[in-house]
Amino acid sequence: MHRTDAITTEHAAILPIYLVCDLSSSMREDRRVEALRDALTGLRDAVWANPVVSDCARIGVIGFAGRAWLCLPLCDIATVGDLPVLEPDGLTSYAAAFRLLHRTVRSDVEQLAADQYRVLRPLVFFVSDGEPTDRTAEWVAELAILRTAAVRPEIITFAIGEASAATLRQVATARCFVASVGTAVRDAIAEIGAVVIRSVVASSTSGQAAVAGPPPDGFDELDLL
Amino acid sequence: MNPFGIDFGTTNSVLAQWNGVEAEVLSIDTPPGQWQNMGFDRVLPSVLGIGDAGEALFGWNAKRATGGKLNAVKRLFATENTVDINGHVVSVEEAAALLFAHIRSASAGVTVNRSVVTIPANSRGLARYRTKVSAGLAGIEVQALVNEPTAAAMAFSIDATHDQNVLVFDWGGGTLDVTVLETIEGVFIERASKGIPRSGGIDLDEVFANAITAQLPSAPSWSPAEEAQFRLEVERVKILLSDQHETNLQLPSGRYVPVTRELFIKAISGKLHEAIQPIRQCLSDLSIDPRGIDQLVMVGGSSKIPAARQLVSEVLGREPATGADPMTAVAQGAAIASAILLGQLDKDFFVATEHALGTVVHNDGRPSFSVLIPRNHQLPAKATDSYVPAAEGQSSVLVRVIEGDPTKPVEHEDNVVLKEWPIPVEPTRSQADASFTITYEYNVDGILHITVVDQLTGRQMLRDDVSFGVTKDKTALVELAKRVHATMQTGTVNGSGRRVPVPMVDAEAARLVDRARNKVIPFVDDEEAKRLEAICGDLEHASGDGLVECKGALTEALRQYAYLMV
Repeated sequence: MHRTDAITTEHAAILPIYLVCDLSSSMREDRRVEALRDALTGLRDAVWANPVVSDCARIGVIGFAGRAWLCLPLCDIATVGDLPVLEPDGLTSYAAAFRLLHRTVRSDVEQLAADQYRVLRPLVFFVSDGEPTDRTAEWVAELAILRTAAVRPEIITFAIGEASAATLRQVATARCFVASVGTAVRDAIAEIGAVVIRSVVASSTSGQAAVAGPPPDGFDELDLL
Repeated sequence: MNPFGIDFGTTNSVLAQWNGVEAEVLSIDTPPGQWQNMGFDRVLPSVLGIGDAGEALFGWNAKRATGGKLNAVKRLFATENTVDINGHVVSVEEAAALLFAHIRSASAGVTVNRSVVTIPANSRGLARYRTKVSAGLAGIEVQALVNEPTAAAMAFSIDATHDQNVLVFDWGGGTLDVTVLETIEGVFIERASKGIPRSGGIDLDEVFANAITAQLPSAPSWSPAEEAQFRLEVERVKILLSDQHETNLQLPSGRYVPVTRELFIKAISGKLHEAIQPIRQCLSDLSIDPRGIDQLVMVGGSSKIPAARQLVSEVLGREPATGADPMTAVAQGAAIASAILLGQLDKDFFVATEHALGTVVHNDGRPSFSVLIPRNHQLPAKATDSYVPAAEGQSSVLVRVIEGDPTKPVEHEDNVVLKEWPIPVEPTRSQADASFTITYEYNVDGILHITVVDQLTGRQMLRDDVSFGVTKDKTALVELAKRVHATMQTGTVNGSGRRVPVPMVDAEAARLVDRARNKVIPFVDDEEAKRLEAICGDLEHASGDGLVECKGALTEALRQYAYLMV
């Protein structure tokens, strides 16, 4: 009788990261959406330059306006040659964003687990330049579903432009940053890009979802308690 | 710390400081050449402007701008929540706070951290509250809100040692207030006060401008900038006619037309006679005739008009007091009040209510005014009364704070419900057992605090103050303060209050946005207002399918407010 040594495999850990971007019409103003595209390119290049991140993190992009759509399915962003075209138009439906985010997180986590990854708690960067145009009860209900789901992501929010601090504080679970008075929205978006890169690197190297460091330049942080 | 007094006027604001000997007026702006030597060298026009690049303009810089400016913000205190200045939507509190912030450090080497601030005698709760909040947002702690006539009388009568009745005729740029004060050993007690909220220099300018244009050979067709230039010239000529009988007015075309004092007096005669009414009302309220008035004090820019001085003197059979400049006396009086409150000047000084405060009760099914703090009551004041639910088995009572005249029906325009709270009560208790007390505390700073206590258990059912507008969300006040601070640091108005008008190609979309912003958003609750404004913001930038989506959403949202469109 042959005896085989039991072989145990340490499953690789993977951190799903989602960038949820407001792509309502108001993002056309002051070339905000161009700043967002630049930030996304910067993120891709930073990940490419840091192979550890490529190994440990998967990044997806969800856009929302009057509806929500998957701009970039969860992937190793370093390998993406042509980034998705972010084209803004329409309303600002937080409800649609939370609904799609919930579905996407659930199916991605299931798939990663099926692929034998040890899935870390997903990290969501939620960026909005305006107040929701759907009724409060509607988006709050969708947010509640997202936040009580079996796989609950950590949510970091960024309020820029006309978005109110109070609303984005309601959405956040980890940290909430509000663009300071006098910060141009484009500059604020560039700073968001920088903090996302920092957090992705920190989370990938530490093996757990982390938003490192102080608020980005031009932002104030709100206490969530 | 030096005692400061601020006259936050409708058209002009003044800062004065008690220097240990007298109340000196500090220079806070520099008028242009042709306005020098006209009494304007120590006042700041209460005008806030926002330039095309967002730069904040104050005083003369704003007043001389052809557009993008806000005159008379104080007039909006009682009625409006927001104002649009050159495409920037700012709250009334923020606009006033910016002016206060400018005054705070406009005098070289001076920073005002605490001050007595004056308010019109007929100001009701909302206007009082907003004055205090606006000064606070600018970093000025309000020691006390003092009625303008009281401050004026203090400037003129500070050395009065004998008892007397002083009638203060305060006719400024925006309001007229007549107050009769009783001076007893240096203590001022307001015995009667009547006013006309919208009567002042601005209104005189309006009728005078109409009289001048009526004399022109043809009706003028001026651009908004030319119209503004003309209005400024009308104001300048009006002031000149206080000292001379005739002068020339420059039209926007550059041509000069002669104008006379006679034309001016004829134009304002209706306003002059209207201005006499509050004097008669005050005398009637006190059941005294003009001989009961020992001293007449006339303050405010419009009080410098010779015809006004003559008419008021004739009615009262007395010449106006001299010894202070009518343009700056109110601020000087406020500085004196500040010195007294800080213990740097040994005089007694009290402030009193000029409206009764109470709650609405239903004794016989009809609403009536139950007084807690009567009119002319010295502040600070505290009063408690007990009440029972109107009927057996009630599950809640509505506690309403009402301010005004208890002799008039509750629904009379002189009576204003400042705030109301539904308070749950135990329906199984008898009426007597469900009794509760209402306590009002009205402080010198002009803010009313209310406490409701269950008499049976001693449980506090309500503790609140009468607060309005932005105070529904105190975090909004913090954000406002930050914006004011940032504007003063950078010189540029910015932040979340900013809304730059977007030229819209689609006429239907433009019409929808216009209807939403003018007919609905100002009247709905904050949450709905934010949602509608968000839809407007998206619609302004939408195109293609997004435009159709946004138009549909706004049309649908506005449909439920059809009753506001009529």
